Amino acid sequence: MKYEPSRPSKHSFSEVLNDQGGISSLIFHLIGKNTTPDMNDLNLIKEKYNEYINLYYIESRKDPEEEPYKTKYQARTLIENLINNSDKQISFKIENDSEFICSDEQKHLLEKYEYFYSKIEPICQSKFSKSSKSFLIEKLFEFNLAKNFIETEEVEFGERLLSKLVKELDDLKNDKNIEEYNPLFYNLKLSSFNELVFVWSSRSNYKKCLNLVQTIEEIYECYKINSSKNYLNSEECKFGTIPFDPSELILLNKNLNLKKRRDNFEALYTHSLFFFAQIYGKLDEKEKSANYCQLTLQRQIDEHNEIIDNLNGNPDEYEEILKSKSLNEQPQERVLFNPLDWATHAAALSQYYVCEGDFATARHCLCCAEAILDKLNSSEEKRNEERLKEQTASIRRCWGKYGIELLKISKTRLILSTDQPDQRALLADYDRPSKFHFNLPTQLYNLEKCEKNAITSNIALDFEQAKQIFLKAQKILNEIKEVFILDGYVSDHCEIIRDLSDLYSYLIFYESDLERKCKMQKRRLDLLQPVCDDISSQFYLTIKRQLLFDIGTIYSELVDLKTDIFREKREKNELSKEKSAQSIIKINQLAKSSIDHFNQFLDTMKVQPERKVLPEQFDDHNIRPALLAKFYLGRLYSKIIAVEPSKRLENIKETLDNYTYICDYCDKEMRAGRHLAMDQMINEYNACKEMIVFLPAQMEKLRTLI
Amino acid sequence: MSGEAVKVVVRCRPMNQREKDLKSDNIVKIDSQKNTAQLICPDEPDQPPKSFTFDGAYGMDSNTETVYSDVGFPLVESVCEGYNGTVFAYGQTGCGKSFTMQGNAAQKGMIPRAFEHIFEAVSTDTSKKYLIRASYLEIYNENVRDLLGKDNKTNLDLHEHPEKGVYVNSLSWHECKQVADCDKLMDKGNKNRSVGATLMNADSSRSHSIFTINVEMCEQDNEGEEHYRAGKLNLVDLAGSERQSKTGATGDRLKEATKINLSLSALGNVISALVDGKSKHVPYRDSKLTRLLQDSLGGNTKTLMIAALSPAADNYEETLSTLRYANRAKNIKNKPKINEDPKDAMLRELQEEIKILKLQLAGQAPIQAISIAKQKPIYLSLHLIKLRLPKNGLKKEQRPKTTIYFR
Repeated sequence: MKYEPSRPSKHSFSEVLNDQGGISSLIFHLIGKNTTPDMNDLNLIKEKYNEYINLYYIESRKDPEEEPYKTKYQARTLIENLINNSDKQISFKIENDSEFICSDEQKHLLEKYEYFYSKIEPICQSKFSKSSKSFLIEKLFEFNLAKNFIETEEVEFGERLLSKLVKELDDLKNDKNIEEYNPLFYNLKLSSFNELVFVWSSRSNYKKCLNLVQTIEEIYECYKINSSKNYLNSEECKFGTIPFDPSELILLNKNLNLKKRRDNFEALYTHSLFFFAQIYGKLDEKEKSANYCQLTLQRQIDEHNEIIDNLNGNPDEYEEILKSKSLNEQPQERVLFNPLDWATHAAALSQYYVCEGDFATARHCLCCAEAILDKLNSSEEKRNEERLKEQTASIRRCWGKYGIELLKISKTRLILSTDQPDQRALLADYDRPSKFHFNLPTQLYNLEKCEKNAITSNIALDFEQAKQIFLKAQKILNEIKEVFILDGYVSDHCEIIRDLSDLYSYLIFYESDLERKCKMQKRRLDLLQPVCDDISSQFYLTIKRQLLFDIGTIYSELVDLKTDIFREKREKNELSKEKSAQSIIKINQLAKSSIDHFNQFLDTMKVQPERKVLPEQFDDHNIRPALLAKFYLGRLYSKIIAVEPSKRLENIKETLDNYTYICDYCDKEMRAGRHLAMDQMINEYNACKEMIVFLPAQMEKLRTLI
Repeated sequence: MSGEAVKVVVRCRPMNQREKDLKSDNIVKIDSQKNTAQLICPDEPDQPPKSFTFDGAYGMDSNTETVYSDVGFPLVESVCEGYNGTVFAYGQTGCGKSFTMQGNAAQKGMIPRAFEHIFEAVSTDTSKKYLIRASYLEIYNENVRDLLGKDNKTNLDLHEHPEKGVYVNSLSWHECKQVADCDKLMDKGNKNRSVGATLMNADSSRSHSIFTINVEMCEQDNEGEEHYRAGKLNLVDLAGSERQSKTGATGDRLKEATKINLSLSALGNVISALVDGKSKHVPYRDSKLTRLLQDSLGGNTKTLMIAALSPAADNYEETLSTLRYANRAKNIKNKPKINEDPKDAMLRELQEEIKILKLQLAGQAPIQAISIAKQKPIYLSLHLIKLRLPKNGLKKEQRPKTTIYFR
């Protein structure tokens, strides 16, 4: 029978059905000659190919460390031989198997399989002098070979092979209309593009990746247009798209049905989305990146719904299940689903929405993460308990940041609203819903229950509301502080302590009573001081600096609070002489403590000789903190209450010295052509500059009193 | 500069035999005067080359001695004075990383030079007592192994101690009295390393390794009191590939490849996180490498990165990627900034004070000696705002109180 490209017809198919002969029935006649009789036997080719897959994906795992690619090299030789010895005119044929074509679905499937081969046959012959079967088998092998090269650190060659491959597949189109994608190699093509994206992203060439992203989206769009959601009936099989498995370029796989093929293809696309998320992240397109992250996570939930339904304690188990899948299909790089990882990603994503001020969406992410964690932690078959405990705590830390950020934004918005006539703007986002919802199984995730118990997503308008946020966040942070103890987790522990201190600092804003404000500031000191004393500044320099600066600031705030209380009481004549003296001593002590800590902070910047002098030039990131510490010092000396003029003179001198230091430093840097210090300190600089003029006059006046 | 920034230098190796045989084009141009590396795209040779500037750039004909005296010497010198120093070697497989770091018979590498340097400094200084100890570990698949221990298969734990910093539990330390002792330890450890032979490279490192020399010194002051100080030199060999993109969820790459890159990309994460500085918590665990070297990345350490390049045209993309990576390490500050609350209460307070002082000068305010009475605290001018809320807008229990006091 002469090969004729034609629409699939019942006729040609029934011929297959009727042909019950011993040998597989030939639908199309062989054109050309056989080179090696072996290599046109599809069953044999399939066998060889399976051998390759087995070597590459399974046996290679056992390779010793010294020869990491031993089996992969062996597999490479095998596939190279297959390519080199392939027959150029392998004919299209379908196995004779009545079992196989028992359903309508299978019937339509076969028709399509046949039709799409016939469709590209003339182009394959004219462009590549090969039968369509030979051509596509070759592409399948080349894909595997390219992957092999990439995996074994010969990226350049692998990438070129792949680029050539996708171009040749493109050449098969009659015109460049995107709807012309041939379902035979939808899967192979997407797999190839995923691999290319991987290569180019590992070369940090993200511009190039963006072009690939576009093509991938086109392929997927095209697939979507041609497939309906209702994909399980035979009609769909007749009219919709069937993304054939790459291994089916050799032989149809009887074990696959339409749903399975589509699931595989969707999983492949999930992998693409996961790459997109990373690429946009690298390109600093945060919103796009976040959207793709969310899509990836959502699709993972959809794909692994039954796993999530039966979660137990070992998050790694599911990876194992996925890995052990049969190699009957083309092994596919999936975004592996690990429930603990999923929770981690969801929680990390929440932090993006926190930064965006979208607390409702952030809260939804965190609640979903917690739902998974609860399930994992409540199981009795926990394995790897230590890791689960740590990771659970780490994920829950996100709530701390959430609480802090919510209070911070509440404060900012309240302050802003004082200048505005209509304060209803404060309520603009009230009860706004989450941007999306992950479809977690209902028994695992009860929206009502989870989100009602969590920290609110609305800003705090008064002390009571702020306190609710504070208490919930504080409770969580106190719990995880017990996991990340100081001895063993210094950095984590310090972070948590600072978060707790930050929480207080925002709550203080809502408190109107000065004495109670003082008490809360003291709580902050109780948190930070012991840790600060305990850690070595050699090994935890940054943390130490941060804590010293924090403590200095808190003492300074206490000075202000105590001074105000003092003044208030004095104005109301509530202070006895004795009490008054006590208050002054207290204020001066606090100022002294603040000065001490800012000095210790500056000491950590000192350099040779003997680490006793401040450097001529601070590192860029230290300029503002260092000069600000100087600024605080100047202010603090002017707040010390002294009666004797000589003491007062001394203090003013200190103030003057510190302000002068700031001005001199900025001026000196400007003269050297460096603007950073001046840019960062311009307001403080201007104020200091003026003070430098006033202070000497005051000092003069005091000298006359001595 | 106080020396807290990362110094980055690049070095390009000569063509190897394979590349000579293939008659590969040389696409890397090094200008060691201007410290630039230029890369020509082999597909677009007419385009202007991509240019990068570093703290040092060394071409094919450079020798390790120069590299060492330029950048290695000052770093090791400060170690001998009791500071910490870290040298990273980075580069794709087969780019001459080991040649620069270990060297060969013809040219001594950075590492043996550092050993000699330390012992020379120690032997000439008789005013102090010294104790020099070394350890050697590798991180393979996120497992930390002691390359010099009795059992190099055991996975060791990291511990962050408040006073001692990050240390590896039960890592073995070995006293060294002379250069040969260090060499021996290095050789012994190298034999235990996970080095894999690939077609591209006879021994490409599959793991990160850290060789640490600890220089403890004891000095008597005039009162006869003893003072201890310790400097530490970390020599870090980063695994020869950066193939894995970041984020905790990796594609189903080979476990091995994934993990190698987990460390590398986490290092990048640290750097990028530092730039960002926003208040957030990302619940990914830092890699072992990052955690072990956290005092190099956030403490008082001098840090040097040496990136190795290949000149051959067929490595174009990989070389570009290395240059970009090195450039990132150079440009981005590796130290987290101190967070100060951007409340400018202090400033406003001072500005108020200045206003009053000015009024005084103009004779519009009574002149007094500075006293606290005059400093008008900001928050005494409390704003009293009334929130007018829509009656039905909120549920009863959520309705905010109508009066808010705040600063």
